[in-house]
Amino acid sequence: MSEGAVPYIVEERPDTGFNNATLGIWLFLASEVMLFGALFSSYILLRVGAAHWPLGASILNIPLATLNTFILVGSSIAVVFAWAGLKENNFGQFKKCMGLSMLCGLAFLVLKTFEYRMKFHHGLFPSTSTFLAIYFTMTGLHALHIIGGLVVNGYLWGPGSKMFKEDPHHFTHRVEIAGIYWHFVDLLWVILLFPVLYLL
Amino acid sequence: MSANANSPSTSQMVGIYSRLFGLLSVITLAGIAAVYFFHVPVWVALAVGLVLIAVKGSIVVDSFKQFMVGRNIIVLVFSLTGIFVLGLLFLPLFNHMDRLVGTQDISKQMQMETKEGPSHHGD
Repeated sequence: MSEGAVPYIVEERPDTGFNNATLGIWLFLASEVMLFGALFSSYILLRVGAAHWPLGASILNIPLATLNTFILVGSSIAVVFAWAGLKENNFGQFKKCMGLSMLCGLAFLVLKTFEYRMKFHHGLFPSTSTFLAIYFTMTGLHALHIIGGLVVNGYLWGPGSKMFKEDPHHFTHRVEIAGIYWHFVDLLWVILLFPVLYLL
Repeated sequence: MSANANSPSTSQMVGIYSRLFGLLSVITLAGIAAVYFFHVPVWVALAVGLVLIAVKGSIVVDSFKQFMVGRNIIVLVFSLTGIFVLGLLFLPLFNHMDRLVGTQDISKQMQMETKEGPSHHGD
């Protein structure tokens, strides 16, 4: 089947204002909002029903999580500059910024693993308390999303980047879609997970 | 990061994202400072924390609204998502305020029974 058989791969549909991939990623993100919304709802239910609920600051490592927050913010800004580089036909800027963004994502995962190891070392497991159960569930699911984003960004940075020479517009669009997902994962941490689990 | 005719230019997009993440960083720092320097009661901390989350969320919505000009379908999808998420958030509160006999204060009933001793079934 030729590529032209599927319409609206890059150009936008006149009725929705989106092409296939953009509409798809926004619908996917809406489903993700529901997933994390359900988990947040569970958190509230567990918290209002608990006789005692520890403050996140008393158990969790706030300085490490703060560092992770700013690593993710930096990662998102780097993705924006990677996309801007492609828009301006600057492939070198894309390579540098996307590479930096991936390094930030990896650093986040390394720090998260370090944090988990410290918890396990102190005998704090998901089975220890309800707070730790919801903490490990929400942050673990978020870490899986980071890994998923890294796989996609890694492909676009590595073997997938060959497409830029053949079809730069299509490749730029792919990076844009991956960037929207990456922003979502970062914003999820900055807006919801970090304040709710660590600060409240 | 979008290519609609109504969308902002590349430099404007970079500006929007930079401003968004800058504002979120400042608010996050303010939240952390509040935790470390102001020792307020838990309910005050919860209220302030939820306000900060709402402010951050509205900043994100406001930023992404600029990419959604003329794309009503996605605004509709996210409005519906928002309604469902709010429903999910308030369900626990409705459950918590449920005053149906036998669904509330089970722990208090159990404590009272423990103090009074075991009930004598079959008397």
